[in-house]
Amino acid sequence: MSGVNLKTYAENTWCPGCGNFGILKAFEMAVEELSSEIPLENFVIASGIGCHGKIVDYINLNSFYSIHGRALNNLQGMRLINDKLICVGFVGDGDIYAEGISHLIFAAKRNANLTAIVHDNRSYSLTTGQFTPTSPSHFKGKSTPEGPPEDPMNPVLLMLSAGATFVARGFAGDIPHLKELIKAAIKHKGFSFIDVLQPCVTFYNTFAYYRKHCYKLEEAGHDPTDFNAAVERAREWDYSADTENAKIPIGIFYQIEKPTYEERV
Amino acid sequence: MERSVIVGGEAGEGVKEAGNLLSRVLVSIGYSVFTYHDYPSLIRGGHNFSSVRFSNEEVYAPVRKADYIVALDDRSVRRHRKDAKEGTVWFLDEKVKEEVEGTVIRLPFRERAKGVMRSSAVLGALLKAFRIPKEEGLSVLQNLKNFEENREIFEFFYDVSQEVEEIVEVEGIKGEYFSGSEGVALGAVDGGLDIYIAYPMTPASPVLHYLAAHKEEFGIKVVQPENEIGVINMVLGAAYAGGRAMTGTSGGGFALMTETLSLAGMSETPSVIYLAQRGAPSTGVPTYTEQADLLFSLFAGHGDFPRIVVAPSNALECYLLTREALNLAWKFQVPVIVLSSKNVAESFFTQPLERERVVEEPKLWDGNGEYKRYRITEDGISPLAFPGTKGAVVKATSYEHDEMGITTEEPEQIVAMKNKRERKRETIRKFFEEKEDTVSVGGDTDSKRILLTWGENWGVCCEAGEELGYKAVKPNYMEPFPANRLKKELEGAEEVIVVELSPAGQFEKLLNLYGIKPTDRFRKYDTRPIFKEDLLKFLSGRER
Repeated sequence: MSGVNLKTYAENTWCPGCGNFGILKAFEMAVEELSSEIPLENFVIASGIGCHGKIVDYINLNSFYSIHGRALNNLQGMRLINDKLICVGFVGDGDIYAEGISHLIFAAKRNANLTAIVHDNRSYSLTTGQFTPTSPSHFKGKSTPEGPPEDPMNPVLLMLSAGATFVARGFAGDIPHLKELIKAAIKHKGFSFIDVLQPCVTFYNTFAYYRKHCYKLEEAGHDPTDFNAAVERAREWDYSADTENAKIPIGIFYQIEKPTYEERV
Repeated sequence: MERSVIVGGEAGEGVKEAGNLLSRVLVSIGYSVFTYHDYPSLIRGGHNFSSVRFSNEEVYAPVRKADYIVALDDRSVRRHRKDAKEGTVWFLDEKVKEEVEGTVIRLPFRERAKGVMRSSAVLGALLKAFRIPKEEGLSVLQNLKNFEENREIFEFFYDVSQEVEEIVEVEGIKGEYFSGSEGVALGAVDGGLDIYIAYPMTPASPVLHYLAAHKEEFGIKVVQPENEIGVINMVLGAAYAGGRAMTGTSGGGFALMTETLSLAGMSETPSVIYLAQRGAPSTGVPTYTEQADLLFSLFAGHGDFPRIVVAPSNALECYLLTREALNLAWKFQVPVIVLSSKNVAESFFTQPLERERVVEEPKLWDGNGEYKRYRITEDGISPLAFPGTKGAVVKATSYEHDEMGITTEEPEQIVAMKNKRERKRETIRKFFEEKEDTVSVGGDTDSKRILLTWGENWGVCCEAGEELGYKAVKPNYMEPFPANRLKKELEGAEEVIVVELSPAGQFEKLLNLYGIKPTDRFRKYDTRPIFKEDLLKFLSGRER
């Protein structure tokens, strides 16, 4: 590894064992490995609000610490001014699947050339544990002691139908695999989406469950250029049935090339 | 010599175009023209009308009464019968059944011309009535897409219409014929605009349309994102990357932007929001006017942060103040609101427009030492650097932060940063205190009787003031509010009458906040502009 120092002096305030550490580590490794081809000053990271958002304080790169749900639009604005910028948005499941869902769908529809990494812990944790759009119906949160009266959405399926040209799922507990996904997403020309299963050790600890049930698409002979196959894989797990026979695919579901928003504007 | 012409008909049959074509011909032969376009929120049918007022002296306000009324349908006759004077000449479509008094010229407008091309028919009829040579009309029509078809229609109606009086060419060109919206668009371009990002909303959309139509010529980008929240966040992103970005909207869209307005304040991101007011609250009266977003624009957004609000009154001020708005946003790294209203945005004025690109360089990082986005400075303004700059890590944030832009919850750091932003507010206040042009004065400038107004009522206040002996005064900036200069203009006043378009008297409330106590008030809120007759009647009615 080169001597790239991506650390800041900010004190890390995530809970010990938080899934966010895995995402931070994987991203730092990805940036180090990409730093030979991408000057560090060309990176811009942005985040929304939630535990995930703190990540921009911990990384010594250009950053825009946005408000809840809006980070991807800040990045789109930057890209329209300077297309040399490598834009990565760290967003949360409450952040971008609830508050900012319209922005996520449109970033995908436009094929804006940026990467969205969703810290999907399936819980509003910084606000001490309410259900989010990807919480299962048995999630007993502070606002829904009996579980939410609605079923979770499947963001992978949503992104496939919205027109994202790079759709992946990662697991914060598998850092080398996630690092490769992040590298591939950054290198992809167009809108890259990674839903990262990120256990929250305090409000929804899913580490053991994901370890047991995740399998890798690239090891299962999946063809990421086949849209129908991608949809089929995306439907294998619906974010609700955390059952014993669940199979959760991680890896790249879908990847194609299309002109980007910035090229077409 | 002053005349006014009303053209009325359904939406989609070229009413507005007829008004503009006639106006352009009149401007080309030396007249000052003010054109008011009145249209409801629909695409076909209904009743549209345009009122073209012209004179060899400057005109800046709409009038109710017309010397000439063109009615393409019966509804137009019914609606505008009250607007006729004793000698008004009527041009009626042949099929109109309504009876009118006075001179009537019947022409087959609807039979001989389709849709928007009826504008050329109306132009032909009117130019003949005014004995204005055909060529004057043709040189304006030449700019239309299907010139040949329009020419045929124009010439037919010119030939079959009747002469009424001679409108002679007058000395000197009074200026360009352009709308407030065009003024805003051109001002933005000449203030260094890189990108215009907007979601459609009446009456701000003409700026979006104008810039989109000319984006290549201006070398700018124009995009329409998913909603106003997406819009304003793209504006901030673009500015963070070093681009001059601007958006435009009306009250409802601005309401959606307010959370991010506060982000602009905290992150100190330069941004310009063109806010064109319409009849409110809520969806309100979308295609008509009001000034009831004034206090909203001044106080929108949670928390304390400095902002600037400029308030143009006509097309030229739209140009100058928007150009300035872009420079102010970057000079002080604050959100700047260009606060207009429908009757400024969509009315056309005749004013001298001398375009000049004015792009002042903001305070930039000198490249020495460690870059700190929020460096504590005496004037509260921290040097800018943009991502992509070697040696600089640019960290902008919505959280309270230290100089680097890292989140803080430490009381001392919080106070230091709040003090920095307040010092910036003070820097802005001083800048405006020294500025000479924060207040305009017009009308009978020696009078001790004052018409105190703002925004779109400026023209009518000046004209009425001149006629009845009132001095007209208005602030050109609403924040920082030029209270001291206003007070100076009001010194020794016998009476101060506030003129505004808000039932609750928002402008008067603002004046009170700064210790200015008016003696009387004229508030109009039928969402129509103040026609000159309205104000003359009010003022005459209270004459001693």
